[in-house]
Amino acid sequence: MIRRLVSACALWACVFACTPAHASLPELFGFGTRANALAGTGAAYATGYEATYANPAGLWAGRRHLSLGIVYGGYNVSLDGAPYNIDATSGLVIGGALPLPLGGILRDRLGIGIGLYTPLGLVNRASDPFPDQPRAAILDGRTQVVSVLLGAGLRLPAGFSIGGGVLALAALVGNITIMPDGSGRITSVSEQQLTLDYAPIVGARWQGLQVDGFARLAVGVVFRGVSRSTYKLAVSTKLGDSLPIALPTIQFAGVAQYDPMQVGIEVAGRPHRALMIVLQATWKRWSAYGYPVAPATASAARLPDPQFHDTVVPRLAAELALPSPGWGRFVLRGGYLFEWSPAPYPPAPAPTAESRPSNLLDADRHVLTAGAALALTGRVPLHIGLFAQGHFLAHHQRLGGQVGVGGLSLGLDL
Amino acid sequence: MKTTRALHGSFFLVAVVACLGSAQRAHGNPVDAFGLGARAPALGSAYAAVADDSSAGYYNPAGLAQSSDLHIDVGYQMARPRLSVSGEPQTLMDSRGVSAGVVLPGSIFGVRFAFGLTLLLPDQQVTRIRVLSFDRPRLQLYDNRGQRLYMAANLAIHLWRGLYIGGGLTFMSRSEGVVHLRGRVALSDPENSVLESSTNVNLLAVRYPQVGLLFQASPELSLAFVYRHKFLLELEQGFNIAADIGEADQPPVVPNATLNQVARSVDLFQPWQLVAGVAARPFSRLLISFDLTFSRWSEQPPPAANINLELDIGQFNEYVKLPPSRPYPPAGFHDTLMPSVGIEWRSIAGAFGDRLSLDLRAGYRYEPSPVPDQPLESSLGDADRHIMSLGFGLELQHLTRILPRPFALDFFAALHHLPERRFRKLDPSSTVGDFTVSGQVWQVGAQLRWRL
Repeated sequence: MIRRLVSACALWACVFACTPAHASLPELFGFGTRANALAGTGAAYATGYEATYANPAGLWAGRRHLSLGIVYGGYNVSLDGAPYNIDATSGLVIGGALPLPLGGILRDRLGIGIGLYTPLGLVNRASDPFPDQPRAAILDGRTQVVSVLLGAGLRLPAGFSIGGGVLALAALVGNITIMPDGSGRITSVSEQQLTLDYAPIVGARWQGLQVDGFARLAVGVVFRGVSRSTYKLAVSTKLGDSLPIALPTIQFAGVAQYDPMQVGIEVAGRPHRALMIVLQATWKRWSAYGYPVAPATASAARLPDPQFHDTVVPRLAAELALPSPGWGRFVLRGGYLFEWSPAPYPPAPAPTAESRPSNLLDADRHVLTAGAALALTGRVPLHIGLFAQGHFLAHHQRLGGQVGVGGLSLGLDL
Repeated sequence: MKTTRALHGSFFLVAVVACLGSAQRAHGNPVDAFGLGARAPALGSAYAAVADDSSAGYYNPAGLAQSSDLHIDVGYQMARPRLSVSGEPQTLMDSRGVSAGVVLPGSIFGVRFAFGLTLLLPDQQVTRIRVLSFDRPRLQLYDNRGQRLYMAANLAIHLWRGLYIGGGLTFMSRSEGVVHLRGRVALSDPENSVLESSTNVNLLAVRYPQVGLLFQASPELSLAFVYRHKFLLELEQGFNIAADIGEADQPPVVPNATLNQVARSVDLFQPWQLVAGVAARPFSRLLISFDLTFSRWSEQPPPAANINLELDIGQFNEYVKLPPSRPYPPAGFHDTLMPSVGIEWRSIAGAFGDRLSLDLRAGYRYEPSPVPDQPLESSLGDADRHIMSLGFGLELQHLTRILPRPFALDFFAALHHLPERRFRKLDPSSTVGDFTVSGQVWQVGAQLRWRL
């Protein structure tokens, strides 16, 4: 019996681990040193690879560019008064932007970009405790997954541009039958397929009010579809009399990673050539989020409903270009955002023998961001950017603490 | 009572190995088997000294820096196996998918370099894992090998005059972690069992390198050497189970039945490869290429695992009839040497006002099977392959003002012929018996190569 269970678990664990790329680091901290320093904004101004997430409509602009960066985040979180361990975020950010050198009516109008975040040494993590164990559902493990973003942007007349991109995510389906073979060994006959689901990112932008050769105002809208990585695997055993106890069909199904559908609208104004002020609001449809694991057997207890609700996240940021020498350009950045938690508040009480409320916990976060950049304009067109974020968890009955995130990037115009 | 068993090569291994991030006991990848793009397969994959597009990320990373143009390549390729075992057609899936790549050239302090991304993305599934019973003949080199994502990133530098060097990483993954199940297993009706799970499994990044060297001795002659490192997964999986055995609302028949198990295995093997290539242009319109690929298949480890299992199911321990532990036989694969040759003839050059050129291509590749005879338990079927290919490429430029730079449309078709190979069993009572393997693989593909 146990043996068959083990085989089922082995298969499940392995298959579970096949769930691939996801977008959670961009959703949690933003994507790119500029956007991260500006409170995760970018729908109205982002160009280059950062636009693959912020708003693909910006991919038409900018130069042919390659960027390499690092991100590190540390967590100091407590749960029910005790330290709650969350592995540090540590990874590489790689990006490339490619305005296409076409001619005719498409001259300086079309560009493509790619963005990649890869945790150091890790591709993905599936970590789900038993339902009665509380966990920080939004913060825990969400950056331990590769994020791959592809997009293209097109400049239209009258200051408008549009763009689109995808996140390629995986869904796993399959079945396994464990049975004896003709040689006397116990074996399995199985077929599993890892298929792709695509989560769209589309956006539009308008830039106008040209004064003194630069646009005073920009408005961007971006839509990101729900992105999730799912698995569904049925394991059945047909071992006959080899073991004294028969086993049920075990279903391993759930959602390994999840980012909600969201719509963001952003306004960026330039009262002065050297200053940009950005306002953004993003609606996130967390109400569609279900409990991430399905029951293992048909008769297992029904798993709790997380009862998450939709949220709106406001962001405010500013960027200031400093007086710079001829060989380079300095920029300072700062911002604030309020990440309204989708988890119900007050949180559910601890589970008892009679009730099993959801233990997916989260708290509101106040996030302060800052950063700086230096762009060399000489023979080596190098760009150096850095950012830092402080996430402070608002008052919560069970969850508290802070998160610090920082990063550095080096970019080169090709 | 506690029972400890070391099971070698049990079905656990099959399960574990089969599932781990594209991990099947198939070897190599679809690019090894069927090539990449449309020009290279048309030339019999004799491409190490020729590649200057994004497929150089596989064939020879050094070639990425040959051109100062930006390259964007997008294509589609498909291979359809039609193989038989003892005359019975096998249900093998097509290998098909989108090939794509980009080459980003640049220059810093006067040194030319290029960064390349190369991708083959199957369109049916990213990976497919199909595990069959050990007592059946299996065409494992065709069953899953074609159903796998291939992704590589490379950097190439122009060192000096005609000398280029390049290298990079191809990405794979392995997993490690622990899974827990707890609850109750129902004795009378297993479907009434109540189990819940907890897991902590990581998919870890695995990267293996490839390096290449390209020397353009003259405009008419290029030499190439490529090394692709072997790829080996070492896996460790632990499982922890604590469950009562009994009926609902009754005291358990066996309370707290437990199992602790760790599986350690080495699998998903790809041999290291060494490629020597040469490309010559005896006439301005003629290109002849030749590659010789050595594959170190003899390092293929046996498809086996060591599993430590501790279980306690109370009074049922004595009824457990686990099969005796028997190791799988060593794989016994042998090294292979694969020659390939390609020829390209520019039949039309600069027609219609220098707008159109046409290249005709043909190639041949011989791939001896690394699989030995199967006289004993294992029944791994395979046969030598003769691969014959034809193709053509259209190069177009100055078509419109929108597309001022040239682009190429390449097409190819190939036939992989597997002459019949007979596998004889020593044991006349073998449940498998003697069997034969034969058949063909049909392959077609097209690609747009765009220089900007």
